[in-house]
Amino acid sequence: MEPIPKLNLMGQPRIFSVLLVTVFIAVCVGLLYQRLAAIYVRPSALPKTAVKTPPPREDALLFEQALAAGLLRLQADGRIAVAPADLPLRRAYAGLHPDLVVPRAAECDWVDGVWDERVSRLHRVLHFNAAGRYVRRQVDAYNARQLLAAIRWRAVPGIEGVWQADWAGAPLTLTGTMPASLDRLLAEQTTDWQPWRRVARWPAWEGRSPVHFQLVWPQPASGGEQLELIVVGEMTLVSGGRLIESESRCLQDASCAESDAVARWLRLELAAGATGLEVSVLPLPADTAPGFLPYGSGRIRREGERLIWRERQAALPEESGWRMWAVTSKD
Amino acid sequence: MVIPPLAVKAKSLIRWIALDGRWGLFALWFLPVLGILWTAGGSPNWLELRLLRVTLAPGQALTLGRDTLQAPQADSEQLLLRRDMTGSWLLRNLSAGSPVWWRPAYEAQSRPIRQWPLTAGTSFTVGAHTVAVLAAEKNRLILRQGGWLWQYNGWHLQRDDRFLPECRQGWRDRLRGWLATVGLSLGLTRRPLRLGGGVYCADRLGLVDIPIDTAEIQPTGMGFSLRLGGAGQPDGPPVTVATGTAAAVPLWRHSVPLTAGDGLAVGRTQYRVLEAGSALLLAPVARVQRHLVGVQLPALPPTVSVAWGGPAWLWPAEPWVSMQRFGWMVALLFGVVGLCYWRRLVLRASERIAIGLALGSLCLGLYVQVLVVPILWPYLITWPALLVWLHTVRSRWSLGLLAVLALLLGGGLMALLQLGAGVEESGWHRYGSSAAALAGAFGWLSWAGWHGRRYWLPPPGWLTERRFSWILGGLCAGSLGLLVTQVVVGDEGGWAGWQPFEFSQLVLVAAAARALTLRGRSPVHGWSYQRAVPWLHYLGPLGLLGAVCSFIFLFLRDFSPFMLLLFWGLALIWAYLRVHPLPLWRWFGQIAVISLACAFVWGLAWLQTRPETLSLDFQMDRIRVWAAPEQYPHAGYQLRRALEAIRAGGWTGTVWSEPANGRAMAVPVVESDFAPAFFLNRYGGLAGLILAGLQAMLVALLILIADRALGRDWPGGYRPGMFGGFAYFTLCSGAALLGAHFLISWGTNLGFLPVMGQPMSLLSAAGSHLVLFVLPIIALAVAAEEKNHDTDSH
Repeated sequence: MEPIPKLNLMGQPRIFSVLLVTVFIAVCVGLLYQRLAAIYVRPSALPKTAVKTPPPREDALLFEQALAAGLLRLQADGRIAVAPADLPLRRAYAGLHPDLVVPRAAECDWVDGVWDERVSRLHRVLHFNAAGRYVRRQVDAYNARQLLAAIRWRAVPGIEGVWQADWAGAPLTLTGTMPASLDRLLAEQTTDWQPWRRVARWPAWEGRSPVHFQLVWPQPASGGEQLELIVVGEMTLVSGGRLIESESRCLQDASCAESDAVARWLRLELAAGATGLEVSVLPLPADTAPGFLPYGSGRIRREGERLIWRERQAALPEESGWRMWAVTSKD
Repeated sequence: MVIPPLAVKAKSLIRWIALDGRWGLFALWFLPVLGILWTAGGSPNWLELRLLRVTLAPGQALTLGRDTLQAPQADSEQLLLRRDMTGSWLLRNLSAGSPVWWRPAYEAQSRPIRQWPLTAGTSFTVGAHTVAVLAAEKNRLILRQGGWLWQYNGWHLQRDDRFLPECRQGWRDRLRGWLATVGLSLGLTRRPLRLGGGVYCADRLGLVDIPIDTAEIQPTGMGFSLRLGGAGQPDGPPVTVATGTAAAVPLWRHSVPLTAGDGLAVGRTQYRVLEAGSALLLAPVARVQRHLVGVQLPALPPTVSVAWGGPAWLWPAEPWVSMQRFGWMVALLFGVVGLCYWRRLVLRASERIAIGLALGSLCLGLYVQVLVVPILWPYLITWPALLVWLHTVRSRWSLGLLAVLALLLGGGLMALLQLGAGVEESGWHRYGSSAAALAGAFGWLSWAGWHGRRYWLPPPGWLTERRFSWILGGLCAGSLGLLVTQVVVGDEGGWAGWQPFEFSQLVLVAAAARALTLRGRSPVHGWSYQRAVPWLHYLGPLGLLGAVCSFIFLFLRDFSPFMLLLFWGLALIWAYLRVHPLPLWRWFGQIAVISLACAFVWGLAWLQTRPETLSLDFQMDRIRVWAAPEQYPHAGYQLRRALEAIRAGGWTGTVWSEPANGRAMAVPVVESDFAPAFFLNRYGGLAGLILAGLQAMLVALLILIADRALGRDWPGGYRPGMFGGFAYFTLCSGAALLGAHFLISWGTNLGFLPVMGQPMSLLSAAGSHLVLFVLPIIALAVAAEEKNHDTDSH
């Protein structure tokens, strides 16, 4: 074969190159112009979908699939448990190194469920994707509505403090928002009271241990001061003051039978030298009073034993049921 | 010696600056200068915190929040500052989500406030689990928990003398383990021990009913420290330190003492403690909140007073502190200016080398201290580098290329300056400043290298085929080493702030160009098994390509680099076929490549209508989002925000009417992948069309220069290292990859491609891409063209 010693760029006239470059630049600019013009004229930022039958939104789909796969489970106390982030590792270790799996205590037995490539992918999305983060946040919000414990008090001169709460040793976050139904119920008696302090977020633990509300004030009480409290939940214990009077409160009437009570009004007398008060309350589950805990702007709701993801935030009557209390300087 | 009058000096200076009468070229160079000055001059009148003074009596405490600290990432109640009865200042972080880092004076490393050093004989609890510390020394920690004895050496956990297996049995951990066994741990023999979760393994100590990463034990220089983990929550399982003693305290409420000289970081805002006596003085160092002049400033507690000032555009806020920090830079700059004045800009080669090295190192210094240098310094040092290069080059093609570069780079720097100038946090300036400083460092150092080439270039004849192969082999090995280092030490975002992948692209381009050049020199063309065909030489780039693809697939798990390489591969095949000596190969080959590209475009359009037909798991989410973005409000969040910003900008942009950036800042990664959305929002669609035209011109110029380099090939003595076929293929590859970057970036921002994750060259803040890929390719084009010019002249 005759050797051909070099690459061969065919001699092109310069005008041809100039023409090609001009066309290239014009095409690039023209394509961008077309795209930008389409974006500027269409009615919304996102283009109309080219897919003929659009699937459900990614978060709704993920929620449904995670429920079906057992990665989200409805618990006995009404809350939803989320599969732990290290579930793939737990499953792998259950087969390879069973002696290196931490013994299970109160939580669900996650290892026993079905596990395949699809569930593994769902688990990954649930824990490490934006849609998964959103679904877990919605689960948190739903869980926060499944238990209720709150306290409110009428301050007396010389006793000033801030309520704190813990649950099985974990400090809890308190908020001033309350369901309007409850707020209306107790409004007449509490017009000059301090704002509500309600547990805003519940740790994802099982079991129904009492919440400890604590009030601490800097100067010791001189003795004989009387404090009035309203406690939402099933009261179990008061320490730091002597209980003088107590009444049950229900949703329907100001006073009611003990079994129907959702709250309790207390009058306490402080001992001389007391610098704090602790009230222990069992949180109320949501099924104690249906409709009592509203869905708010959350996506998840429960219908019977089914959990449903609401595609759109349809205006529900309950959504107006929350009222934000102004937090005073004492709070 | 005759001293020229001032007018003569001024005339010669003006003539030099005006590129010896080429006013058009000078205007192109000067246009970005005007743009940058206009951006700085037109920026909103911001007020920034200069000094924060807190006065407390012993025993008093004060809560500081976002408004007082002027820290954008801080919570409304972020810090609890108190003085104990001895007058010492103590600091506690109140926030659940926003971390606070503390660097004690005379220490180099920062640490979270919620950190507790482990010492032998102490214990701590996580939830209901008590962990006793039996020994805590460097690389040796012994704990007792759950009836077992746990030993941790900073890398591997043992339970009762039994080494536990690696938690994840992935290839990355196996690679790390193997490197550690052969003594190449790259400093990676230390990792935190994570507490919580459901298993016991090499770096996890599981605890019943405790979520994983509730707390972690971090190896430190002296021993080990307990920290809150990523899943630690204030209302989660409590973590209490020093249990069983009077000093027991939840880690969430752990306090640290403050003394003069300490450093603090609240979110991303940094402070230095100037004084911690009767009053506490905090001076912000970087990334503080800004307020418009005339807008009501936030109310402060009576015990807090603040001093305000404007942004440091040209002069440092604290002259004395700055003189200590930047003194050497100022001295270097004055030295360079003095030398130029003394020599009346007629410089010897050695002086040019010295100036290039001095200003290059100055730019690197600016890059290192980019958060604290005055905003305009990097721009002012960098832009003259382009002017001296315009003076240096002689070919018209080089001048044209550098002029287009000036417009593109200048436009990009102007946009990045606007990004920092129009936002309510001072830290955004770092993107533009670091890009300018890196470009300046490359420009000045390459200028020094150009004038010093007689000293460092090997003599003619030294660069033989064999030596060139060895050099390329070394570069391939180096780039692979960097990729492995990123896998082992870094993460998907890079390693130590750099992206080794960009360097690998450059080496891949060079290796492929070398192989194709050899193929071009082969006496046999077309498909052949003859021995004369240098098949073995093709294995190098193919091997590197395989390694790079594996890196992308296994580590980055990103689709966009594949798109880059696909585009590059097609372009390279086209570049080879269009110069093929056999007409059959030339014409049919080109037609085949163009048909393939058209088929690819058609396939994409088809896929958009039927995303479900592709059953691949890899990147399916991205494809689904691209096909139906309204169904993916979370995965498609970036695109939706970008399109909203682009629509808000319209054809003319918002920069003319709104000095502040406004809603454009809501676009995620607006400084990098979504910089085009920012550009279109602020400067409008018309400016975007000009930008696209300039980008197309840059790509076209690179291809034309590549053609010219090939046309000058084989004048007699073959120089494989620099010119001819090698330059042709390298420049074609570079142009293809640049074009692919432009295309993918426009596609990401406008939503017409199912990929994401690539910056737009010369517009986005992407230092590695700029100095490890874009500028070297342009430098090679200039070098090739200057060589052509020399050949013409001779």
